[in-house]
Amino acid sequence: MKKPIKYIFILMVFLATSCQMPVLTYKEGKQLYEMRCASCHGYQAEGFEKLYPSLQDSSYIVSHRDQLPCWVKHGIRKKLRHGFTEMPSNEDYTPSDLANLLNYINSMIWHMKPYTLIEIESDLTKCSPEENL
Amino acid sequence: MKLFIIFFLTIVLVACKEKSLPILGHRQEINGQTFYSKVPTFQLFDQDSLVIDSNSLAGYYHIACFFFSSCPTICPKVMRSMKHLENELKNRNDIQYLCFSIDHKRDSIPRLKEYYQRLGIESKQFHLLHLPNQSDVKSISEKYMSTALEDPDAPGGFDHSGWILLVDKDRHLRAYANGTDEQEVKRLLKDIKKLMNEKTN
Repeated sequence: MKKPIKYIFILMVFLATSCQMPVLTYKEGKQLYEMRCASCHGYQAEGFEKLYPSLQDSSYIVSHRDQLPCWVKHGIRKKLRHGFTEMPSNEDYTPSDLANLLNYINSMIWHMKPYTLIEIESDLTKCSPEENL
Repeated sequence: MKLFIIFFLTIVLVACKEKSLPILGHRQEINGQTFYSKVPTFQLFDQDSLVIDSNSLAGYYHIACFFFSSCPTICPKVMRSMKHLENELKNRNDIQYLCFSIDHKRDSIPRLKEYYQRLGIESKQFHLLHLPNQSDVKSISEKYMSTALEDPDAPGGFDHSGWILLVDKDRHLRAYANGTDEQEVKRLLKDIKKLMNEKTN
């Protein structure tokens, strides 16, 4: 009687840990998001009234994919579609932080192809200063 | 036995009767009477250039907060809480909402107006107030038990508490909550309803 229970137990542990995997990958991104972004953009990226935009419009995000790393790192001074004030910069974010953060939001909402580190580093070389702080 | 149960229930009911909200802040005993400090009277413009003063507040409770429009961390959460309170209390017509801007340099009335419009408030009782100088910021925020100091190292340039405060019709502070904490704001809402339902107030 003990043997089948042991196998069932091992199977359950395996299932539990394997189902955890995708969530754990973006734990760092989640922390970054909740520390810096969530107070304005909301914990579900829902935004807040017409003051802070929602990040849930995936088509807009997809069409500006390669600008997102610049916007997050250097902030935004010019007004985009809506938004009351400049978005603050996060100059201390490394490309790895940007990848984690953007991929966390991506896993929550946008469901594009995840960013790679090489892609982010390349995008950061093309930031245009008049858009940023 | 029955008598004992009745007696016991009476004691419990009396003991469990909800106490009224305390009056917060500094108090003085003079000739056996207690005097409680009050929030200051003021004359300030709101986002529509309407003057808000003690006449506008006569007969009203008010809920106060301190913010500035370019605030990146605390204020968005406090504003969400303020909107939540306003929504929950929208059937009441004896309450005003006052959010004082502590950034007298950048938060001009037109800027406050734009912020107000984007906040999507429907109530006519919600006012964003322009404080004209630093000494007003200091003296008013202190009386509302709130810090509001310029600090270049703080996010947005201001070090400030995120309190939301309840003031009664006699300008006494009665309750407060950390506006960034959902649970505290829920508790404050209960306190507000309790105060407003008190027969003596």
